Parts: sequence; structure tokens; C-alpha cells
Amino acid sequence: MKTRLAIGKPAPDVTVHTLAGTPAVLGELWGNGRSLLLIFLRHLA
Amino acid sequence: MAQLAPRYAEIQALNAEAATVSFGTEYWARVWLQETASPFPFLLDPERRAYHAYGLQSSVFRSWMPRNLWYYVQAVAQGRETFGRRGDPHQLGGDFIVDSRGIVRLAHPSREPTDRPSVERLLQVLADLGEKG
Repeated sequence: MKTRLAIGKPAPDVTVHTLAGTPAVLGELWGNGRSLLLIFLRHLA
Repeated sequence: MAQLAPRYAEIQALNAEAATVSFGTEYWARVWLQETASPFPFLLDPERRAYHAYGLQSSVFRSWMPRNLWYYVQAVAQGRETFGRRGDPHQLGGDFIVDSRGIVRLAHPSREPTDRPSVERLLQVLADLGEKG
């Protein structure tokens, strides 16, 4: 059982990849007055 | 996703960005993007580090709820490929909103595959943040 992420707590900053294979840090997607909606997909069906 | 994509401009107007994250392969990601015409930036997390960090579960039991079975019945009837190469069908998704300071403002890990917050709820949370670009 994984821990549910708590509202009001810092979001995990994880490095993923773009389709081009470039590392992308989630923490660079929010900030500068901009929030982020993260949509985690299931399998690509 | 189909309900959210047409609202992308509204999301951006609220000084927000949206991004999709998948644990699939680059090849199937490109196929999926072609099929769905999703407008959102697309990120790959093949090791599921982000999935784990955001508390998203993989569950055989929860993946075979009746509503999801109906989804697969429809997909098969439409001739769409649904299993196997497109990745682990037991991994659940979820939706999260993070404000500009990096604080979680909405956390919705799916309890079963069709469990997603409504588009209106997502837009309301973004609007309530009142982010100034």
C-alpha cells in the first residue's frame, strides 16, 4: 500500500523524460506564478 | 482525457500548465498521441518513479471493476488493441494539481481505472488558486 499524497505538502520532484528522451524535472513545470495539472495515465490503450 | 483536452486553453488561461505522464514506451506513446490528438505535453516515466512518488497503485483487483470491463468490451468491439504491448493494464492513474510554490492542492489517485475527478472540479481548483502569471 503506497502512501497517499497529502494536500498542503510539497509535491514530489521527480525526473522523467520527454518523448525525445530529454530529462524533464517535474519541479521545473510549476513556478513563476504557474501551477501544474499532472495527469498520470494508465496503459496507453 | 477526452473531456479534458478541449479545455486546454481554459487551463492555460488560469496560469496553469497540464502534462500527461505515462509509463509506456516511446513507440506506444507516439501511437497513443496520434490516436487521441492530446494537446498536452507528454512525459515518460518508464521506471514509474513518479507513479510511486505520487502514490499510484498497481492493482489487479481494482483494474477489473465492471465499468472498466465495459470499457474493454467497447474497445474490442471497435477493434482497438488494449492489452499486452501497451503496458501493464493493472497500473492505476491519477490527477494532481501542484501550485506555483510546489504545494499539492489536489490529489486524486484513481481507486479504479475510470475513477477520475471531473473536468469542472479540476478547473475549479485551478481557478481557486488564483495564480498570477
